[in-house]
Amino acid sequence: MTKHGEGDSTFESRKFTDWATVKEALIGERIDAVFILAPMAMQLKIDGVDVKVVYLGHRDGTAIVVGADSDIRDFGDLADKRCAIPSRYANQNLLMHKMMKEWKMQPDSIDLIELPPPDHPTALENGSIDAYIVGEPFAALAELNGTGRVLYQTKDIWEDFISCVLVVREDVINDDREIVQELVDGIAKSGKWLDEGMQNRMEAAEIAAANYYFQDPELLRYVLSKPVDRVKYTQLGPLKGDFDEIMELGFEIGVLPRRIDFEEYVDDTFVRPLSELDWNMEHLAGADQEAAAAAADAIRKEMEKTK
Amino acid sequence: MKRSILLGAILWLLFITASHIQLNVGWNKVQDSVAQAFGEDRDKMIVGFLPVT
Repeated sequence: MTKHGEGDSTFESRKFTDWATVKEALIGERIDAVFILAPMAMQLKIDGVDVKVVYLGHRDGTAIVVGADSDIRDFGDLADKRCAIPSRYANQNLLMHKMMKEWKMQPDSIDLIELPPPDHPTALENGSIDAYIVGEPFAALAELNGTGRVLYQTKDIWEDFISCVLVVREDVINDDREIVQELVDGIAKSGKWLDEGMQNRMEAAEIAAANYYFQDPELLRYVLSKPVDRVKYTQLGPLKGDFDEIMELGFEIGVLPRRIDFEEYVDDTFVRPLSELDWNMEHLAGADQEAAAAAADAIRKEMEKTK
Repeated sequence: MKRSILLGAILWLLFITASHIQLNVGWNKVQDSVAQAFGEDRDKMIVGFLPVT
């Protein structure tokens, strides 16, 4: 658990390791908000849990990964193979079904197995699965270890892909709009800052690795730079078109028991234009600015070489 | 006799309530709920996350 906040309020982040516990914590009011899978947010609302999606966590940042030496070269080669997904409620599951439809494959032609994201790279390495689709940093992990190869980045197969969304309990929204606005503004401002420059991303990688992800900073530097649009942190307002597409797919494959209107589970009144928001901060506290600048410089040079 | 039973019941009730708050609810949550019940604005949010982007 960590605490952080720019204004008067305090935001405590609480790390979870599985979706079921997240859901219980939300229902039990032990947390006020959570970054949760988009279709799960719809299912929560259908189940009668009073929550609303108010913002997105990021866009893109998911990849389909196969073994480094695998003979799988395109999506069609995944037929009759075992592929791990984070959850049946994950947008990654919906994407696999969307792709199967586009490739004119039967809905059961790929054996989709639910596995917690941290287990995906290990399962691929020991051969219990042939591929996996997951959010970062677990796609990059297999790439860096040399055990996996990215078959597709989601940005190349589903533009502006949505994975996690910020869900807030409705009683909190009704009683304390100011603090929800402060949270949404904070996410928007930090996202804008992240997308402003490579050095900012390198600083964020160091701080997030040490305080939130507890991962090697090199892994997060890789995620945030290779390629630079692997994960995007702007355009995070929830849009009806995006969510209707997810909802229709979820309903079509039976993940959602019924259709649900956008207005029923989304409150987009907290979204403000990025031009109105400024984060009065040059650098992240505690970040090694020289190391971040050097890493950003090395990436810039590498990008120039590959041009 | 009646007085000691009443006192014992009150102490037992206080003990059970305190144990419930300690084990299931959390003192901070109780403090926040009381403050909000008296019209104070919320000054803290707990935000869950999974370490996947």
